[in-house]
Amino acid sequence: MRYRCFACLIALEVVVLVLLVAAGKFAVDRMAPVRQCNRQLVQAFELTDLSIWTGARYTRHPSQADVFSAFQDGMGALEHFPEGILAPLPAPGRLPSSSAHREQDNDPTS
Amino acid sequence: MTRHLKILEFALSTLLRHKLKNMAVVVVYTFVVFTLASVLFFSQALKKEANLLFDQTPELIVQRVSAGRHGWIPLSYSRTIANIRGVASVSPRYWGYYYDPPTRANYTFMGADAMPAEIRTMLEGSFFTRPDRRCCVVGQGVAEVRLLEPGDIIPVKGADGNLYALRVKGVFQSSSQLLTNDLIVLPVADWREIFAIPADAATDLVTRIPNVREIDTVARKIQESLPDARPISREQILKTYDALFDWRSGVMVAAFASCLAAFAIFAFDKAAGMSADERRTVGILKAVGWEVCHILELKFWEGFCISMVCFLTGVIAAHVHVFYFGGTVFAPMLKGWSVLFPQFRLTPHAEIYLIVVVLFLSVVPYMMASIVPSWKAAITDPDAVMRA
Repeated sequence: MRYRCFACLIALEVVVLVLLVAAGKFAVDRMAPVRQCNRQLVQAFELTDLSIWTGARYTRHPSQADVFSAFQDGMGALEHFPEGILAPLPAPGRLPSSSAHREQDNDPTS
Repeated sequence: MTRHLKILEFALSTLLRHKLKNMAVVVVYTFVVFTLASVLFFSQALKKEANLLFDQTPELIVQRVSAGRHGWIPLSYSRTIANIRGVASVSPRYWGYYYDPPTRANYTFMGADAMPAEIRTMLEGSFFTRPDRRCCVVGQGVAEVRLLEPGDIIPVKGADGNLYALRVKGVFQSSSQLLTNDLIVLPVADWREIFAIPADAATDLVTRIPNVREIDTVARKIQESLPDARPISREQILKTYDALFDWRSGVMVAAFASCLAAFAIFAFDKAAGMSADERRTVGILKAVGWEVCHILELKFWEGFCISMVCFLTGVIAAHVHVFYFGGTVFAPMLKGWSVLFPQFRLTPHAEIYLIVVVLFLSVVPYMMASIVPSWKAAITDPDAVMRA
């Protein structure tokens, strides 16, 4: 009757996973007021970036950084910040996404 | 039904006969699933969080580029921008960076004179009002690293070499750490004085455009009338975060690629390279009357038992790791050299979709690798299989 033990194990794991996914859904709802406050904070201070990596300008404000600057610590450059190495290299030859007349070099890191 | 259960029972007995070998497969397989699911859960949660937060960010930020670098933007530019059709308002933003030698941390200094009432609930202490000077509100990360509480003083070295003592009026609550961890908000006049910024300049200009379809046109007109301006749209900000977290998750998966490759070789060798013992078993089973479909079903159950246990255990462990322990295994890689790193609680988004992705990436290849070689053995003559 090993198959019964196996079925019980699988059923138990499925139940745990379903409970975790359900708990995740409730967590999203529970976090809604916090997120709403944070959205108000974004509006009030006109914030544009997450405060996660404070090692360099282009990791603290990836959307605002002047990565086009000459001799700036470029994305993917051989420099000493691990998070900088992990940030994406600007794709060469790609046209700007939104503003048709913007010069390519002025494009932010997207 | 009874036949299927009996074949499952026989498959479990076969697996238990080779306990050590299968245990090694289970450990490695579970680790691979755990890693893959953790990376996907983590990057998706952060990406979604950024998208949800920044859909209220300004429609257009206008910077000034001077000699190939981000320079202060003259306030007179705001009049030119405000005259463009479709622009509702233009307001300056005052912000910059400050390196704090005692803590070796970088702070973001932001000048602001007013704060909406609803935000005040996110503060421990209070916000400053317009006549107040030499005061500030700090993020939780700054408060922790400098051991600050409301009423304490934080010294800041100004551009003129003098020390400015800023009294902490409030500390942002920890729930906003993802946005305010390294932030120091102070009156605009203090910000100008400490960093010696000209009175007619700001860091950048926030341009509000009610009709989102006009954003690109307004950006083009700004560049036509102000050639040294650099407009950054909200869409670009959101795309930056999408690209950033896609890249990061890709790099993390790449870092574990050797582990994935090792597992792939291990699983293929284990599943495809049937041992002489296993071949003999297949031959005996065929000789005692088992059909090809029965042998395939046996191999299916063997693969199913291992892969389902590993898949479910790995996904459950990944969920707990990312959403209850904040992805601690990835922390050194994520944190980098940041002195201030926020403590934040992630919430799952599109989790069922990601679980299905992990299922297809991990279970299906293993099942295929188990069944195909056994089919080859099963269609061979039993005598030939046993003698081989």
